[in-house]
Amino acid sequence: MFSDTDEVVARFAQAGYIADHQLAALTFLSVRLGKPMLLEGEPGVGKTEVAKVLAKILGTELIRMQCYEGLDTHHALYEWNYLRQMIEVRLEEARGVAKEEIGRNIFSTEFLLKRPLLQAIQSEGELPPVLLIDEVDRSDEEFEAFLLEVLSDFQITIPELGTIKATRKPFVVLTSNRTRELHDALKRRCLYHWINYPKFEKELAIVRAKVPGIDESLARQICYFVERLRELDFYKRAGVAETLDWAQALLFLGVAELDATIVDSTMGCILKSKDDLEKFKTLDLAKLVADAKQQKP
Amino acid sequence: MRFEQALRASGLSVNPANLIDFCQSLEHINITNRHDFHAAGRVTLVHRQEDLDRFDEAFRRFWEATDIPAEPPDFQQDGAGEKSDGDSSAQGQTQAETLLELTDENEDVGATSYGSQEILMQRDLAALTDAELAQARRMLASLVDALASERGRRYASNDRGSRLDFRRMLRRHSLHSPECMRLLFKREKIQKPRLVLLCDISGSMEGYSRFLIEFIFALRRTLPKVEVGVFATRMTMITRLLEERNVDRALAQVTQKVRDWGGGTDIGGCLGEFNDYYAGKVVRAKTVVVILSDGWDCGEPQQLRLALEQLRRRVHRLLWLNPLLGGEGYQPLCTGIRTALRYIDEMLPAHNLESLVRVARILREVWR
Repeated sequence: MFSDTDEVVARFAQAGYIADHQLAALTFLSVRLGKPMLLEGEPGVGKTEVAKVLAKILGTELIRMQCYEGLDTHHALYEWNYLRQMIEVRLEEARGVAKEEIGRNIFSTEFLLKRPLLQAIQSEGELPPVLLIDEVDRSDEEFEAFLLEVLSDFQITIPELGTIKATRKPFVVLTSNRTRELHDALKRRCLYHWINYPKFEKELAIVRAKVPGIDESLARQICYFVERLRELDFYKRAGVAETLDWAQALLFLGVAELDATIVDSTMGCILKSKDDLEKFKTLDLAKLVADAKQQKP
Repeated sequence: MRFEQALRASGLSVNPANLIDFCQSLEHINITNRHDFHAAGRVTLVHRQEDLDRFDEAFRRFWEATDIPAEPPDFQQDGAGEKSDGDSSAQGQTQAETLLELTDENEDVGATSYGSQEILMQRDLAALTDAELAQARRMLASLVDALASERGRRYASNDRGSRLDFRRMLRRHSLHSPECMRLLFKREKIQKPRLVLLCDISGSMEGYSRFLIEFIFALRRTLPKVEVGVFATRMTMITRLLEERNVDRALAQVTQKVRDWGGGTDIGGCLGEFNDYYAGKVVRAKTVVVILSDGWDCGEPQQLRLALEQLRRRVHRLLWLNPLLGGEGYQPLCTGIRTALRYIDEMLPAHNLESLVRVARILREVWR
């Protein structure tokens, strides 16, 4: 795996993810200590991407569980395939199989629907899988408590089958947009990192890495412009994902450098609410564009 | 261990389990490297964005106090300090915007609507006559009913549901013959919101507090999970008193028990008292806390800030209902309110029935 944090930075960079020292240290320690990492930050700063890149670097499977309100054990852990079980019961009855026998048959792994957590625990790859628990702040309290239990023991009890224990701990990545504060008990079990909006140089590096073929001066203008926009008071500020979308769009349109018309017509890549777009219209666009061209502080 | 003490001194609480993690992580890194040591401490010991600055500061002081020559402080490339400042001021501004929007909207409605009910909806609560009060109560009741029957996203067996409940069907199946299997259904469980209302009953709120208590009373009867506290100079939880069926008798009891009715205000102190003594019992992660107050505060602003910050962390949403917000040209100028704006999710007017309807609607929304 990794020998030190610098290696993490280098290998993330190879995979196209620009990680700072903090994030690299987090990843390194999380892998070494076998503790889950909890990434918080504004939407679109690359939290989910960390898990994807980690799986890619380690060459292991990525198991993703998207959280939502009302997510329960049947969707996170396992569920019996009731429809198949019912059909099987009918078939076996018709064949005259003994009742006890049927009971045993229909509660076997064949009729078990494995959900992400069970998959992660039972995974049999060379290295343990990366388990991404995405947007954990969207799940409810009950689920968080349940998650706590799974993350501490990595074992699951299915009454009909017995206890299944993970032979190796998966690498766990939790992300949160912080729509609510997570419970302290869950946080304590994780290594924590807050991913901030990147500084100009870092964002530029990301654009270069993710949008190959983009002109250097255009990339600088884009990053500068987005950075200025973030300083303004919009309801939803642009994430890195938005910067990349915009850069892609401008590249696709064959734009050589920013001008007011182009910026105005492509703003939908950056600002995604009606109020923000209306507010944007009140700005002095010509001046912003001119500043971006001169990179004036 | 000295490092841990340094952290405590700067107001960060360090959990023993995390301290062990930190020590374990030191085995994997080069502890004479400032970058690595800093990063290891940061990921293991801090669990909240707001604490990152404090940690960085404590770390810098600690590191500089030890004899190892410090590297130039460029390691803070993320600029945690600027970040959180930026965030909070941005938040303040959005709050202020919501405020402006709210007042705008109110004026619009005022100009266009008509009819006796509508007029009643807009009358200032402090100026209602007895007859109007009775009508207002009836309207309140229907409003509260609507609030109480929200469906959650978890399912329970229910014959009028729209989803097949296979779990239950399979279980029944073993008793009946398969040919006459009945279809069994499930639907979403009703999820009643958990609310905590803290009502300011100081002199400046006199005209409103009685009606707001009645609003609470109406809520209390339909939602079992409502906790109610009143405060002026000290916090009193009156949930039990409101179990009385008759609203007037309940209010009489409240007046008897609560000694500081109509006195001065110490919002910060009272909220602090709530945090220390009552929050553990009545607050869960999904609780919505509503503060009813005009924000005239005679206490320490610093104390109010601290109390609100603590409270905000514990609850799902923090709302502030302010009767003064209904007045034209009102600006949230007094220190209490200005401090509060940084921590609360929404500041809403609560001077007439119409605004209470809005409040009920918002409560439903935040619940989702």
